[in-house]
Amino acid sequence: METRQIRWAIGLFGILFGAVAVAIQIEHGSNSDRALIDFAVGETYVVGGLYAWGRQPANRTWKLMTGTGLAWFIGDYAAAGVPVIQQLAILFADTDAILLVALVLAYPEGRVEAAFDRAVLVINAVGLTATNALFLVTGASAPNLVLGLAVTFTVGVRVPLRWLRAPRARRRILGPPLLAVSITLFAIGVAIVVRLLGISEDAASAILSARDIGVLAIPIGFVVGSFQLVEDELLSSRARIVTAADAERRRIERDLHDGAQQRFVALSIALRVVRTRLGPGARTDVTSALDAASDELKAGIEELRELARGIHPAVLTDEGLAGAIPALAERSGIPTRVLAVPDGRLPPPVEATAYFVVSEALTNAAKYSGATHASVSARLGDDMLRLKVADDGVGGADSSIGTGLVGLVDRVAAVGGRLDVVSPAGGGTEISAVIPLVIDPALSGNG
Amino acid sequence: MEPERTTLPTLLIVDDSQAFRVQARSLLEADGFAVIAEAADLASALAAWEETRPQLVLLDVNLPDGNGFALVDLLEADGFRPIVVLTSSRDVGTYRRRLERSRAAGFIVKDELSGGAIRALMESAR
Repeated sequence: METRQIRWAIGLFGILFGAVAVAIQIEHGSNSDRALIDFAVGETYVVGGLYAWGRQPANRTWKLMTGTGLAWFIGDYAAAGVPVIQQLAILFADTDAILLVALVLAYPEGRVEAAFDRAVLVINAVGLTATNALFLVTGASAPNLVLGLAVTFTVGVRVPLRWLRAPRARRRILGPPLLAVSITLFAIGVAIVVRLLGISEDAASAILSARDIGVLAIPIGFVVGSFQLVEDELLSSRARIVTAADAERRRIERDLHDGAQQRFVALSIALRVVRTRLGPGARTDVTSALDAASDELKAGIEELRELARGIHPAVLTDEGLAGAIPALAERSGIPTRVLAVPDGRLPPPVEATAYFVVSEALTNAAKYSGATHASVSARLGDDMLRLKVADDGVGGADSSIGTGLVGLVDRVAAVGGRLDVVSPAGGGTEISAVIPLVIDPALSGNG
Repeated sequence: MEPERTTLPTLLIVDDSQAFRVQARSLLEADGFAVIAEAADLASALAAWEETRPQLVLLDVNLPDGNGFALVDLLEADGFRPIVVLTSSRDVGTYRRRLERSRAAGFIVKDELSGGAIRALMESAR
């Protein structure tokens, strides 16, 4: 079976399983509103989990989420009226809590790596099932509730700590579900205390509903988080493609330099050696033919050098922006001042993108703007490289039509940055770009 | 025609391209330099330097085991001050920043190499 069909089958089973559970609850005299909220919570996990599973098939987080939804209804079958089913339902009534803790701890990569988290998982799984078995035999429910409270408290502390320790890029992923989890765990804790104190469910109805709505917010938080996760993965893969392309261009430039360029240079020197050896008494038709060949070769070498630099500037590899931006300004078609460049080295894709922006912006300025002066600045701040290329030309440049500017916008977006063009007619053009120094969120550390 | 051997400035050529070394040697010998050694990388350049002590080093920036700037620094650190002329088939703009900080006498782009260009840099290095 295709995984798509498997997911549909699980979805249908989940709806049936949940519907029967709701019927049992209502039959057993439960408040029908609460039974329906209960149904909505379980199905939100199932449907949300299956949806995110489809988007990220390799990530086990979403299987855990789907499982949590299915297990949500197990406890309801304790009122089924068939002894075997009743006993099994009681024994496995906390499977949803076991899977939910696993889901929370495994999110977002689908792996639980910290030894402490693994221990919590095992204690929770074995403990909750064992205390339910104890309840079946002796009728004592307190051990189960106390363990539930302890795990709830532990995870409730652990989750905000994870968020606090996470780097900024990762907080966007962790934030939505973990916020929902924290609030809900608090409500669950209160609900457990309510039961331990023996307050009747009707009297505690408000807190139980608050818990259920909070529990409903968790799967929604996870799905929102999964959007961010998929977006970050797309950004990472775009950044990787750009990085690989840059590395390839650097290789081609080096090959051109080590190969063809060296040969032509040696050839041009050889021609000059011949010219020298001919001496002053040589036939003028020979020397002028030789000079013409030398000139042609010189032009060819210059074109090849230009081509190699266009593919990937060696100055960028060797010196970073501190060398490359002044080199661009020096070759620019209009007098260009460099106001600021960062002294140290930056990640290669950041340098390559910044170089591309400055290079294209200056080329455009020289071609279309009629400017008499241009300026470039590159400054670091807030984990960002901020570029500004300004000219005093005619303005009127539009990043939505000119292909050169569209290419720039795309190139900067590929590494997670943004580029803006301010170019009022008659008022010069200012191109500013912000490029994050950490372009791959997957590389920005683990929470 | 040939000038007196003792008056010729002595030169070490360091470049990993054999074709370039051969052509540069012909050209510079014709232009009145005594090419007394050749080397294809930094390590053999150091050895050749120890052995021959030339007045001049024509030094490619990009070598298989490092860059020419490093050799300039190495010789400098050893207390030697040969006149080093850096060269590359890439243009001067590529190396502007490091050239400014280097003790090398100057830079000549390879296809503009000539005895005259080297002499001009020797003059300015004095």
